[in-house]
Amino acid sequence: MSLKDKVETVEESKQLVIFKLGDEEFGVDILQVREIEKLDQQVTRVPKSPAFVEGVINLRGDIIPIVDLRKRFGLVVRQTSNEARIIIVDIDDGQVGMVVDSVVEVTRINVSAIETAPPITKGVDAYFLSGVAKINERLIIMLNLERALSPEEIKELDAIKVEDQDE
Amino acid sequence: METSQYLSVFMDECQEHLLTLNQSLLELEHDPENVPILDKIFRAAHTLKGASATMGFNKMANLTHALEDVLGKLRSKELTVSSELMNCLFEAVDSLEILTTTISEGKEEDIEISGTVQDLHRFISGGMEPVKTEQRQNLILRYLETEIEQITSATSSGAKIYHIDVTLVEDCLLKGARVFMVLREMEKLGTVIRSVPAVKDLEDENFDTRFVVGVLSTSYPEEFIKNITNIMDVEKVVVDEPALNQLQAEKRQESAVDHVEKKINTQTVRVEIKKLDDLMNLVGELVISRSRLESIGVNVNSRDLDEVIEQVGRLTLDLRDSVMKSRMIPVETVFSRFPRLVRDLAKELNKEIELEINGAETELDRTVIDEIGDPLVHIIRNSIDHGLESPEERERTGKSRQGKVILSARQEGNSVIITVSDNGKGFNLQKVKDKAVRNGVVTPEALAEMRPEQILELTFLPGFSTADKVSDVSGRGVGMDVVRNKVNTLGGVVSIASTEGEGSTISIRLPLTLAIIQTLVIQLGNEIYAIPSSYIEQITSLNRDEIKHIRQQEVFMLRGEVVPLVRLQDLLDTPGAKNPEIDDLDVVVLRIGDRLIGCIVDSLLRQQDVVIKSLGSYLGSIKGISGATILGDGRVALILDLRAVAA
Repeated sequence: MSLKDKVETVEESKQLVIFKLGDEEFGVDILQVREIEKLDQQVTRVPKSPAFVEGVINLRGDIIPIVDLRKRFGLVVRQTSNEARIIIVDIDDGQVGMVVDSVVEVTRINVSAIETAPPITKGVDAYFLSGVAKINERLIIMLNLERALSPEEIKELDAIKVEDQDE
Repeated sequence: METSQYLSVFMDECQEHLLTLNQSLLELEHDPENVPILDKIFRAAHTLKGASATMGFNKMANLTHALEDVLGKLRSKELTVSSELMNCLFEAVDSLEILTTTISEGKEEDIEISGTVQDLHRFISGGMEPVKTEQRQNLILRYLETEIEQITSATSSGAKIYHIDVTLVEDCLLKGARVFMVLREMEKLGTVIRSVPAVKDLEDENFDTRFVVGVLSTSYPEEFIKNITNIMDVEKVVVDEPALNQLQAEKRQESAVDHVEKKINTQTVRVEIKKLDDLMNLVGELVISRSRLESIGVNVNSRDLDEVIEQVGRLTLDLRDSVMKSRMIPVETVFSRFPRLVRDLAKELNKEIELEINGAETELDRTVIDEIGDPLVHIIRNSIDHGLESPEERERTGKSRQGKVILSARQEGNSVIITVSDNGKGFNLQKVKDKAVRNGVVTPEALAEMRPEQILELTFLPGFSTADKVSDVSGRGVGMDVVRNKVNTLGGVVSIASTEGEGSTISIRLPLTLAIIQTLVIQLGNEIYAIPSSYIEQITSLNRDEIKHIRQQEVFMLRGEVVPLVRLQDLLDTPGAKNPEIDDLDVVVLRIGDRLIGCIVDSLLRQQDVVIKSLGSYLGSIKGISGATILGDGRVALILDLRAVAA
């Protein structure tokens, strides 16, 4: 191995869970992922919760809220297929399950491959992202989970958008 | 000695004893001749002294020692109870409380107690003159059982027991060496039994200038005096000849005190809260699993299995009841601090107030007990500060000079009701209305529609106060809305009733337990919900024709009373609810506060005990939902919080 190669392998890397929402590929740091479940149980609707909160499920005795990020980001909502999964992640407020169309892979990328996200990426406001990663030809949109999942943020953001439009 | 591991046990004991001290001192104030109470106080102080000395908390040991001495004089009738003495004793207990707080915060006795100790010593010496430090030191020889035996047998063969009180000069340099020489002289004339301070302390020079030594001897006191006074730096020697039976009596008393303590301790066991909580969780899971077993058993159709399931069911319920009971403590633990509070407040505000406590043995879950104290303190302060009038005003209006506050607790089904009543001046409805409008809390139009109870409830809103002056005691109306919030988080309801001129009653209804509750499981469309049984007044069925309308509000008649109806799907946005189409409706009649509300559901499924699981902080608090539970089939059902319905 050349010296350059050796240096590259020592460089800092992250392990990502890559999943699909609609046509796009998203990634989250595996350290935040608790587990991945099939979508085979009934989700109990919670009245008066934000629209993108599907409800709650029973995960071995714990009550876990389930959100649908497709609704959150206004992406195409496909019919749920056999490949749909719930990715259970850890955030400040506890655990949350995200409904995704499919889980693609778990892969390691170099931190250097992550760039800042442009203002809007495939319809998703940069506020919710922690960057974009390029793996060969693929564009992986990195989610900032705290922001993406927080119900409050979206209200403020909507307010700002409205202001922008008025100008 | 490694004492840090005992610190939490020590703290627990301190709390207990301080509580006893406070309560008993109050009783003593009312009943100065009560000897058992005095003994109780003495025991508590004595134990505290021993414990704090063992743990090395010298200030506390000092203070309790002084306290014990004053109490000793009270017992021997050398002192009598006076209001000055009582105030001093209360102050001492307050200082002890502060000491325990600083110790628990790791600040190790950070306060100045010499003032309090001095005050106590004034009572001991009986005068107000400044007393010199060394004379204030009360050096008492306390013998061990074996030593008493030794003394007894020696005296029966002609020896005597002397207590030799030696004082060295103020500027003595080599105290340790002098002590050594004094003891050596004593040993020439007799046998040294023990000294105070202890010999080790004397050798380490851990004393001021005075010490007392107990010596068995057949020599004469004069010999001791002569020989010891000859030693350099010895200023004074006094020989006391205590009577043997006095020593024996003192020892018996001490043993009795210790013995009583031991007896009381063996009847209970201290358990860490966490262990009880863990146990509670496990039982909760067991309850759920049992339900699931039942569901599965229905499908399997095996008699043997059904029998076992039934047995497991009964055992589980018994286990649950036992665990719940172990977490229950009598409200007395909360109520006990109130007599002192009331006394102090009454003195501060120059009012005469009697506090009556009923039902202190009523039990509540420990987590509720921990949280309900502060709201109650606030309610009582309000009563005394704003509700009860001054003695003069009461006389003017033909009432008794002394105002009364009644604090009571009782169990009613699945709840505990705690009430605070006073016979003060009650709420002035007009003042409440004016204040509410003035503070922008409500509009005059809305006010016109309100019943008296609703007007009173305005006092719970933030920023409200009917006090003319903001007094130091209960401040602005910041408290009542905080009180209501706290009660709500505990799953309870708080309400006010009042008659102007006669008094007010504040009632708090609390659930008996937080974790497992009885519910009625109902169906609405395709969804299943659980309604806590404690709110259910009754279940009834209505024919569609029986529904009347009053100003577009659906109502029906229940035992001659008009009860408003709510279709639950309107509250919960439930899709596909069936009840608008059916003729025979299932209605769950709820009692919330003092109002009845009928909730129309699609069908009643069953009564079920459920374990309340929190929805977590992600979803935050959703109005109308108090939590979730896992049903027998593993599905999640939301538990409804129907107080929102009453609003």
